[in-house]
Amino acid sequence: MFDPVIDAIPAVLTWKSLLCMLIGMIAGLVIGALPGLTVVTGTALLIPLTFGMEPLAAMGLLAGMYNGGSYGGAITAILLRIPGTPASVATVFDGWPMTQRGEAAYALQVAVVSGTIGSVVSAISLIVLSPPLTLITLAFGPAEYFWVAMFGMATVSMLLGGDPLKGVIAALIGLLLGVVGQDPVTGTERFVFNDLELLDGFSIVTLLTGLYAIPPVLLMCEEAAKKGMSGELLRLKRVKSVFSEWTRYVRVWVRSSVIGIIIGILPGAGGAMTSIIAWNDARSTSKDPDSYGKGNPEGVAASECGNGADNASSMIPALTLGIPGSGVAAVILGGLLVHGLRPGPQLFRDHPDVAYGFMLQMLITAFMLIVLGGLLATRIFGQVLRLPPILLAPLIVLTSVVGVYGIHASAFDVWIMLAIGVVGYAMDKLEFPTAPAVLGLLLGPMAEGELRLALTISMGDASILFASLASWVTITCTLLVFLSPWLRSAWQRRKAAAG
Amino acid sequence: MTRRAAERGFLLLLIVSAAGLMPEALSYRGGSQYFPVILLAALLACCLAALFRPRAATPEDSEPFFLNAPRAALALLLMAAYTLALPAVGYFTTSALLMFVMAWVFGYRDLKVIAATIVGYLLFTWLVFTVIFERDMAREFFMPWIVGY
Repeated sequence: MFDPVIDAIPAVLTWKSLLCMLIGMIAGLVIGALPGLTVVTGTALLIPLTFGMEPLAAMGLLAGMYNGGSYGGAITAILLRIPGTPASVATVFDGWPMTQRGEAAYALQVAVVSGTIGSVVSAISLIVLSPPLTLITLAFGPAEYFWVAMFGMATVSMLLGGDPLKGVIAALIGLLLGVVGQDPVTGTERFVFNDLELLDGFSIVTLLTGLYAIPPVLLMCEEAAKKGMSGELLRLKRVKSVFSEWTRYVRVWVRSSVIGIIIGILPGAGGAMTSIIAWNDARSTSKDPDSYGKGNPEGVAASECGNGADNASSMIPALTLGIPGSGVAAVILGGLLVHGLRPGPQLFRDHPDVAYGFMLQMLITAFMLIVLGGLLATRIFGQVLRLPPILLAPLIVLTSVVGVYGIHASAFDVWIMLAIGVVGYAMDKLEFPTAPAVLGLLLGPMAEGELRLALTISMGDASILFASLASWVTITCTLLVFLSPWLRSAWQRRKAAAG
Repeated sequence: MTRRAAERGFLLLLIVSAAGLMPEALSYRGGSQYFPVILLAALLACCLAALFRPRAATPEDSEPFFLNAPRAALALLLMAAYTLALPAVGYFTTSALLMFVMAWVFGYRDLKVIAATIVGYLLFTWLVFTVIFERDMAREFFMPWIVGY
């Protein structure tokens, strides 16, 4: 079972792959630490830059960004009481009181060690759980894949946020954007309007970059903040070591890792939710729950370990079924498609070096975190935090343009990116979740293509869609996932009425 | 503009777009029309439902949509001007200009920091994308005078 993993090691350890992981990790630490920029933004910014790169080197860049970015948020959460990413919200609860007590360096060390442990365990779960899952999907044909795409779409209901209707509208926008271009079956031009540049449809890269990179730029310009972090805050001094107190944290690390992995695998459930659930669990099972929220380092450990543990595990459904477990996983999935790699068993069969190599890169970047996320590195990379946000805004635009312009060496893609950016900005401000739009964009063409392929094979007989056990299992799962928000609220109402 | 008004405007825009695209989608043949027609119909239905659904007003509804509308418009205008100039003027020249102008018009006046950021970023971009990855960037307008073609 592990032969392909071992075979992938030489490709992962080439200097190019290692360099890309390193660059991705550093970029992730910086992006994660910058308030207003999320790991999703960072990943979306990186994808266009990976054009022309070998797929494994590109995936190394994304793996570094994912693990680095998810820890980077802890830096400002601890030092400034500003969560760099939504997932580091729970780190503020205990990290900031520790900083006020003069224990910022220790809090950062607890965060980086816990984040590393969570990320490593999560990467191991990715390596162990993905191959058996792909064996199951080998039994799938076009009809089953149509239902898998439907299952992915149903997970939208879990990504909908507070207002399901807004989530559905966002998903429909994504689905419609995926329709533009030539129909893959008949070749009919759809919504092309005689514009040759639209014939191949919108590039996923352009749409993702616009949706995630431009809205924070507009927000930064609106705020026009002219001051970065004070240099004083980055003069960190080690006072004690987390390694000498490791027995104190073992319980928290184990529980938070398990919580992170489970939530990561569930489609659409990762992100901020994981660290808060892990923090709550640590508090409720602690002998001293009252100390949580007042500077208990175990709170920082739980939040960061849970946060790290949902990273690689959210890639399990993404790599095996094409259904991302989180917003970042959805964007990484877009990165795979950009390189012509379709998730599922064919990825493991035709490109084992990339599939298993990426898993190993998630593991290696998890280990890199402990070196690059340490105090010395925080002092060095943290210098970027001293740049005023108003200077960062044009840098984000320019980095986006480097990637997007390079796709066809045409300003047309940059215009599309800006237009989608404005839509993304409006969606952000009006609380339309963007993750369903990305999922719609990725899964729409798959759903339509597989459905029409299945119907072509059966000469138009729709019963092919319900002919196998695998179809029925997927249909049942789809219904359960789709109805879960309503079932959950009905159950909560019943519980409230009873109690 | 309040957030509620902006939300209504956004939904109206989606409704008009979906209704406007429907005849085009209906004109497709050979099965190509089903998926876009279903999606447009669903979008229309959902947007109408969101627009006319009864719901109690929340405090957020009356909050302003923009933190600072002139600044948001100015940022968009600068990005649009940058995109227009990019193919004709070249990536590095327009990028240096955008960094300087954006920082300056939004009130940042430390020229040393601006200059250092411009030089550092462009050097990094040139080294990574032009030298290492040989990425096709928009050619600088002055290059023909230097290299002669």
